[in-house]
Amino acid sequence: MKIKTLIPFIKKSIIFILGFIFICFLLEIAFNFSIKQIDVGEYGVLNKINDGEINADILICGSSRALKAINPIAITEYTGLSSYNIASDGADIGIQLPKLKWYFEKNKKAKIIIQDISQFFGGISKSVYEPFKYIPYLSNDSLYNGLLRIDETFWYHKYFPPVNLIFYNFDFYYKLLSELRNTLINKDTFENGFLPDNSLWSSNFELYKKQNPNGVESSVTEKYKSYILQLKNYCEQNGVSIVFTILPNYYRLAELSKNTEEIAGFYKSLPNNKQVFFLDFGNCDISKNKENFYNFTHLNLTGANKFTQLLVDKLYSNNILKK
Amino acid sequence: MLFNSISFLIFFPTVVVLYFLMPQKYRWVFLLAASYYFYMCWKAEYIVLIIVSTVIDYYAGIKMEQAKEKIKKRRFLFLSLMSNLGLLFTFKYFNFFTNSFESVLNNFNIFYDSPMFKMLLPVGISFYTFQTLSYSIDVYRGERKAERHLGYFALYVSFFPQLVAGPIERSTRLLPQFFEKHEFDSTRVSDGLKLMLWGFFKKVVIADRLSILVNQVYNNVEAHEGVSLLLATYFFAFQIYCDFSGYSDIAIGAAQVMGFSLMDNFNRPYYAKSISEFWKRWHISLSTWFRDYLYIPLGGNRVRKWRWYINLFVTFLVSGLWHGANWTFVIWGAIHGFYLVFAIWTNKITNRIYSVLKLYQGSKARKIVDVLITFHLVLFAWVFFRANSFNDAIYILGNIFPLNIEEFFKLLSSTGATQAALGLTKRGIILAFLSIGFMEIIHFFQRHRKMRSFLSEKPLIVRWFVYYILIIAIISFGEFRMQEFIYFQF
Repeated sequence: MKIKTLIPFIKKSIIFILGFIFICFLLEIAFNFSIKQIDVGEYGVLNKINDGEINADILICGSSRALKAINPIAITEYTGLSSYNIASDGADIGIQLPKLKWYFEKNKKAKIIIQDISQFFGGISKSVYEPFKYIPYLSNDSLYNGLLRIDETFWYHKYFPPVNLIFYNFDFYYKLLSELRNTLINKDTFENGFLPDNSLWSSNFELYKKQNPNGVESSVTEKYKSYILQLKNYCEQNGVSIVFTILPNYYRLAELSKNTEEIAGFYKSLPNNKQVFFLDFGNCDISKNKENFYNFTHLNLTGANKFTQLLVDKLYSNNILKK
Repeated sequence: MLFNSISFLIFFPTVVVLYFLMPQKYRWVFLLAASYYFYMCWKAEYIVLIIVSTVIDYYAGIKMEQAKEKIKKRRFLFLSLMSNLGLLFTFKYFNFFTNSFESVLNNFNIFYDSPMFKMLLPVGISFYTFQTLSYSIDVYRGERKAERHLGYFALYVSFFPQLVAGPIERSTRLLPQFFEKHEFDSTRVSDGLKLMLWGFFKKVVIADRLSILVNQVYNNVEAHEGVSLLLATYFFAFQIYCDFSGYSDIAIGAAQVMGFSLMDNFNRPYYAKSISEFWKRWHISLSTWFRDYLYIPLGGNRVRKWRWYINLFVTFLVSGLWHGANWTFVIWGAIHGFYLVFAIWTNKITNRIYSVLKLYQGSKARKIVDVLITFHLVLFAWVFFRANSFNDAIYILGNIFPLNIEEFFKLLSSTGATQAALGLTKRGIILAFLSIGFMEIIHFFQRHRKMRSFLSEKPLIVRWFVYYILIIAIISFGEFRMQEFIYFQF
């Protein structure tokens, strides 16, 4: 075989691959540009963090449970303090500190942070859930380094953007297009970062029970504890009060949960200089009524309104907030 | 090594480039080494089984050819059959048969602890043993000469594109190709790459996405009912098709890049108008293997009717068992055998019903009805093929109805912890339907003409645009969890 016959093909292949990489770069630029134009929905919230437009006194952080459960507008009504919810879907404890650092670098420091600690799913993922959410903001070192700590391969999102295409999945395209459309028609489903859900109960608890016949155990690993301690220390260093909060669970989850007390014990044992608080709503009255939930871990709008009121009452009764 | 892995993305181009740069006389050594390496990436020690099978069949082939008396020939054929089927029996069926024997004894209150053979099933054992068997039988029948070059023969047994999941190639077709000099042909290479790309699309975009829901439901059937079971069953039909035909496309494409031509293994099987046509379109290399080496030797259809029925039934029972050491596979085979016998048996009545309904032969309406009936008969049998046990299969069939659509939509719209109920979210299911729809549009388009030849007439910019879109679709919508191909287990 003479190498000469291969050369035109290899040349063509290289042009094809370079063309592909070029298209990926173009797509990356187009996506980032489009995302930065969004001012509604989840990207809207992230853009506001990045542009320093939030500056709330009471900041709500956490996962989808906090996103759907705590209404910052209601908090402002009850307390007179500005409030914003920056919780996001699928955000486990690992992402909380980098996100908070990013927030504090761009915005005025909050007075109080309500930190949802997702009692039922306390594990730490080894990868970032929906990494495409953070790709446009990787120029922020605090966020980037935090993400790199969760997933050490995260560097290629920043330094080799064509790879991002792998992470731009159907959910990304759906989110991008729907939020762009909503920006154009000026429709926002988020209210100061809170995502109210009007759905009625639609969960099948029996099915979940069948799928988990041996119960469910949250992973309170050393790594998890270390993340929480770092979060606590960071807030203390910045003079910010942090309220670790267990949100209401549908009461029957207690049948499956195997280490609720261990989790509560850990939070109660955190060293405290009057800036760290722990509130457990896991089994409050709201938990006992299906009407407050749309599934067994997420409150619907009815539950969220009741819970926000209850949360503010507790903040006052525990002297976290002063009248 | 999986086709859908990063290692293969490095392995394959390296092999291709070195292959074409290598002088012809060394190419077989290189391909053989590459094939052995490909297999050994999975479990190195099992390469011994391939080598044993190769050496025995090589030796048996020559001896059969040299033998003057039929009895001697038979002795060497017997050696080949016993060694290949022995390997298969030991590694694949030993535990199945001993467990079944133990269960039978238990029914008679005789308690006996059967010995267990705790070994991993060697990947592709059913494929390469059948491939070498076909060689031995062909030599025995005098349909081909025994191969004298051990290297080429070893390459025939272990050629990496088709080693672990076929197509099961005949020696008369594949072996001579190793002697030919394959010049680098950019058209052929690019055709092969296109086919591989299409195979990857079917595997990672369709099959692997569908498998999430199918596994979720079929691995915990009692937690599901109605539409969930039905949807999982429909999805499985497309999953197994896309998984296996995707593998075959990648295998055929990879071989084509290097200048080899492998047989087509699938021809739009779900468009078959009868079960017998389905078997001419599904896993063609296996069904023709069974036709040539089992069904016809049993007498085929040139015997009395009752014997014909038995021949058909036995062939499909064995085909079922070939797929897996489990009674569910045997039942799956038996169902297909029954379908074929029943179709012959009721042929006249069926035609009468069709003429009463004015569904005349050749009419579009008749074709649609036939395709739909055939597809659903195949679907029914897939339940047994995929179910983890006979009881699970019965549960599924017994609980599909009532469909309970309301409960299904509740499951679909639930989020958080219950997302796991179906494995896929609502958007994931929509994407699954869209990608199946896209594949079916391509299938429809390919009725008369292959997409590749259609594309090849278009200007370069159009062609590249299509390839870029397909690559982006694979990357963006593919499931990259390194799922094994279903047929690896067979």
